[in-house]
Amino acid sequence: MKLSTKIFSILGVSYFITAIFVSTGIYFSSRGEIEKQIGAKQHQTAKSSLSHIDSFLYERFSNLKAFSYREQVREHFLGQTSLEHTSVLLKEFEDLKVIYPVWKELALIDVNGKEILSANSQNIGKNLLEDPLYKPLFKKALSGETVYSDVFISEKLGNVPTMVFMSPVRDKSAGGKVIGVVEGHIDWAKIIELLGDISDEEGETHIFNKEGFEIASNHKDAYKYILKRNRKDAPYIKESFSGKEDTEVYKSIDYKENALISHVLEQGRLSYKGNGWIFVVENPTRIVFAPAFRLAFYVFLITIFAATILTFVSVFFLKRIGVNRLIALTNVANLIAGGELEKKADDSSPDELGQLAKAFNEMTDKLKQSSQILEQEVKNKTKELEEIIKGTEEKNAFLEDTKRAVINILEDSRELENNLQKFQLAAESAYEHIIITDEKGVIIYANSAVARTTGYTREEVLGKTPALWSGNMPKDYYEKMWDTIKTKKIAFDGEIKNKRKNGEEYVAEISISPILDENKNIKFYVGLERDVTKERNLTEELRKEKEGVEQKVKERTLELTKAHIKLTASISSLAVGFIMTDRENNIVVINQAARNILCASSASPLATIQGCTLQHIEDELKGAINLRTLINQSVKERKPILVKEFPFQSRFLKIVITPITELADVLGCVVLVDDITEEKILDRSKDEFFSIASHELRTPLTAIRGNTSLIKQYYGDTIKGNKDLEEMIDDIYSSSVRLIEIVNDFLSVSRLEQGKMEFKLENFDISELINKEIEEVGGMAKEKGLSVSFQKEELDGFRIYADKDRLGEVILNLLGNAIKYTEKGSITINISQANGFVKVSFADTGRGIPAEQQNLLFRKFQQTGESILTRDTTKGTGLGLYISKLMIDNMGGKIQLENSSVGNGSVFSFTIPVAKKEV
Amino acid sequence: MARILITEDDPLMLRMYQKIFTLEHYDVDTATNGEEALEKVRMNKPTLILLDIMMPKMNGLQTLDKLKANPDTHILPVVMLTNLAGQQDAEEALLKGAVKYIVKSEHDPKQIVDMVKEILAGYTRNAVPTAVSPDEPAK
Repeated sequence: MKLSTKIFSILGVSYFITAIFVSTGIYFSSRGEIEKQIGAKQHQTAKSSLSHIDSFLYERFSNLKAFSYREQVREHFLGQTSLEHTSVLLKEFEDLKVIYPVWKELALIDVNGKEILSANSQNIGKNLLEDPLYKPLFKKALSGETVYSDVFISEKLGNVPTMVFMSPVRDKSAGGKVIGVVEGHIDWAKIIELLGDISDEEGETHIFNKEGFEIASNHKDAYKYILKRNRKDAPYIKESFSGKEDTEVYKSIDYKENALISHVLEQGRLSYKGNGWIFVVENPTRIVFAPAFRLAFYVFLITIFAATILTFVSVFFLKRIGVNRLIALTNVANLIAGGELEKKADDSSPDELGQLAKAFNEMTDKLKQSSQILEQEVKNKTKELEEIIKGTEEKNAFLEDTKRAVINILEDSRELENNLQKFQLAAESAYEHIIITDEKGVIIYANSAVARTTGYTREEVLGKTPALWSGNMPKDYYEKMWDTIKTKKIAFDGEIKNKRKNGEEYVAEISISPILDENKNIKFYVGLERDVTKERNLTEELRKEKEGVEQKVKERTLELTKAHIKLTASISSLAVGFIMTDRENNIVVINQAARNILCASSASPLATIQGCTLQHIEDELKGAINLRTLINQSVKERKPILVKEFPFQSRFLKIVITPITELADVLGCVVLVDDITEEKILDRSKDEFFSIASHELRTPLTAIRGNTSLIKQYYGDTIKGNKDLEEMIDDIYSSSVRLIEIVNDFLSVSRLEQGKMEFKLENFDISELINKEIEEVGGMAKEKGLSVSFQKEELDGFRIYADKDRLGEVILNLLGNAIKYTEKGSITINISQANGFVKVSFADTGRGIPAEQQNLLFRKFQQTGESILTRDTTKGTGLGLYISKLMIDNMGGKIQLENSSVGNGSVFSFTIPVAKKEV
Repeated sequence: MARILITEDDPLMLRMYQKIFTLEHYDVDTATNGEEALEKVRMNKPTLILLDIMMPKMNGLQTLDKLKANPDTHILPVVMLTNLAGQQDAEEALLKGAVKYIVKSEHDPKQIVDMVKEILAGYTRNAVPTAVSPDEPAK
C-alpha cells in the first residue's frame, strides 16, 4: 500500500469515529434538555387543565349551593309554598339547565329522601334512601355537608357517566337544621368535552380517580375508556398517592414504554378527604425526541463533511512537507535495485533526508565497484559455455525434424477421425433415412430416420436387407432398379411404395448409389429414402380439387352454352320477330322471323336478309311508323311502347319496343315485330260469320213470325172459335219473337265482348229517349195494368253524351224487366244530375230480388234463378242486364241495382256522362 | 195504286211479303236478285222498292248504286229490307240513298206495310216524290 493511501485511511477513520462520538453526545444532551422542557410544559398543562376542570365544577357546585340558600327553596321544604312558587323554582331549574347544559337533573329532596320537586317530573316521589348509589351521599348531605360523588356509571341513569352534587338546605329560623337537600346531576360527557377543548398538542391529558380508573381524557376515544382503563399499578399513579411532591416530573416510561409522562395530584377546591384525582399528561417519545435525533443526525453529517475536507487538506500538506522527497528517494532505490547503478539520489538538502540520501549514494558507489568485477567474470564463463552449446545444437536439429514429422502424422489422423465423426453425426441427424448395405444388400448401417420411415428399429434392420419394408411395387420396378445400380453401376432415383412395420403403406422418394472400389467393383450401396406420403397426398388432393374445379367449370360452361343455345334457339324459332339493340342502336340479335317480316321483302338493295341493320329496318318502316323515335321514346321513358297495328306493304304489323334496363342503366332495347295479317283476316271472317249467321237464323224466324202474325191479323175470322188453334198460333208467334230476341242478344254479346260493337257517341236529350222507350213498352204495361211515370226534376231535360240507339236498348231492357217482374203497382223513372253524370233510376213495385242473388245480377246468363235447370226459360236469355252493363260501361257510365227487397220491388239505375261542350 | 217491287231471294220471305202487300191492296211486283230487280224497275216502274241486301248475282247495295246512278230511277224511294243487323250495312245503305233500313226479324209484316205506307204518304203529300240526293240522305 502506498504511503499516501495509508495516511489517508488513518485520518479518515479517526475523523469518522470522532463524528459518531460528537453526534451521540449531542443527541443525549439535547434529549435531556428536551425532557426537562417537555416535562415542565406537561406539568403546566396538567396543572392548567386541573384548575380548569376544578374551577368549572366548583362553579357548578356553587350554583347548587346558592340555590340551596334561596328563600323559596326553604319555604318549599317547610311547606309554605304555593303553585306560583313551585313554578318559579321549576323555571329556575330550567334556566340553570339552559345556561349550563352540564346540568342534567336538578331536584329538591326532603329529609326522608323523597324527591319533591324535579326538573324531570317523572322523578318526583322517588326515594333516594332506597337507592344504594345515593344513600351514603344523601346521608352525608343530610348531616349538613355539601357533597359530591365520584364519577359513576349507572344503568338507571342510562349508562351515562354522571357525577352527583348535593347541597343541604337549612332552616335558619330553626337554628340551621337541615330540612332538605338540593340535588344536581352533572353530565360527565360535557366535562370530557371541556377537557377535549384543551388542545392535545401538549400531549394527551388523562384524569384518573383514586382507584386508578380513567375518568376523562382529551383523547378522541375518551368516552370508551371511562371507568374502563385502570392504571393503578403505573408508577406515576402510585407515586401520586404516596404523597410525593406533585410538581415533580416523573421521568417515567408508561406501559407502552414510549411516552414521556407528567402528573399532578388534584388538590383543588372540590377535594375532600380521601378523594382526589390525578391529572396525567403524556407525550410519545417518538414525537418528543424527534428534534434531538434530527439535531444529532445533522451534527454527524456536518462532522463527516468537515472530516473529509480535513483529511484531504492534511494529506496535501504532508505531501508538501517531505513525503514527495521520500518518495523520490524510494524511486531511486528501486532503480538501483533494478541494476541502474548510475542513478544518484538528490542529497542537496541539508536536513535528515539529505543525509539519508548522501549515505545512500555512498552505498551505491560501493555496489557499483563490486558489480564491475562480477561482470568480467561472467563474461569469461559465458564464452566457455557458448562453445559447449554449439556442439549440442547440431544434434538437436535432427531430433527436431523427426518430432515434427511425427506430430504431422498425428494431426492428420486426428483430422481424419474428426471428419469421420462429423460424417456420422450428419448421417445420424439427417432427416432422410440413410442405409448402407454391403454388396449383397445386407444392411450394415442405418441412421435413426430409418426407424421413423419404416417403423423398424436400427437393431431390427441391421443384418437384414431392405426387402424388409419394400416389395410393394411391381416386379419390373425392382428389376429396373437392380439393373441400374448393379449392372450399370450408376445411381437409381425414383419413387417407391413401401410398407411400414405396422403394415401402413407409404410413398418415398429413393436414391440408391453403388459405391465402387478402385477396381470398379461394388463395395457398398448407399440408399436414401424420404417419406413423401404427406406431400403426395396433398398433391393428390390438390390435383383432385383442381380436377373438380375444372369439371365444374366444364359443366357450368356446358350449362351456359346449353342455356345460350336454348335461348338462341327459342329466339330464332320465335314466330314473332325479335330484335335486340344495344345502346348505340346497333342490332345485337335479330331472329329469322324479324328478318322475314322486315327485310325479306325489302326493295332496298342494301337490306339483304343477312345484312339487315336498324337503319334498313327504319327505312323500310318509314311511312308507317318512325322506329327510331319510338325506340328513343321507350328508352327515355323506360317503358314499353306498343304500336297495336299498322300497315306495312300489304301486311299488318304489331310492334312492341321494350327497353332493357339494368338498375339505372338502359342497355338497349328489344323490338318485337309480329305479323298480324292473318289475325286481321281471321277477325274479318269472324265478323262476316256473325253477319251471315244472324242473317241465316233470322230469315226463317222472320218467316215464322211474319206468317203467324199474318194469320192472326188477316185470318182471324177463319180461326175464330177454335181456341186450341188460336193458342197454338199465339205460341208459335211468341216463340219466334223470343227466338229472334235470343239471336239478337247472342250477337250483341259477342260483338260487345270482342269490342266489335260500335258506339256513335253524340250529345242528345235523354228525356226524349226515355219518353220514346216508355211509349214502346206502353202496351205491355197497359196489359198488366201497370202505370209508368217519369219524373223530371228539371223541365229543360238532360243532355247527355252517349249512343242513342244503344242507350235506348238499355232503357228498354230496364223498363222491360221492371214490367216483366211487376204484377201490380207502378214503375217510376227518376232522373237527376250530379258530378258530370246524369243518373236515371227505375223503381218498380215488383217481387224484388233476394239478397243472395243480387251480386250475380249483371253476369252473363244470370237470371234471378239458382241453377241452370231451374231457369225460367220464359223470361228471356238472362243476357239483358249483362248486355246493358257492357253497353253502359262502354259509354263511360255505370249500371247498378240501387236496392231491392223481396216483396217491395227493386230500383235499378245507370249513370251516363253529361253532354260534352259543343265546340 | 202504288206498285211495290219486292226484291228478295228467299222464297219464304218473298211469298210472305207478297201476301201482306197484296192483302193491303198494293200492286206487288217481285224480283229474286238485283239484276232481276233492275229489269223489273225498268219494265214496270214501281212506286217504291223493297230491297234485300244479301242476294245472288247482284246484292242489294250494288243494286241500290245502280238505281241511284240511273237518272231514270234515282228518284225511286228504296227501302232496305234485310236481316243483316250490322250497323255498318245500314249506314252504308242510307248513305247510298236508301230511304229506310228495316231489319225484317224485328218487325211483323204489318208493321212493315205501315212503314211503307208512311213513306209513301210523305211522298204523296209532297205531290211529287222527290229524289233523294246521295249527299243528303233522308232520315
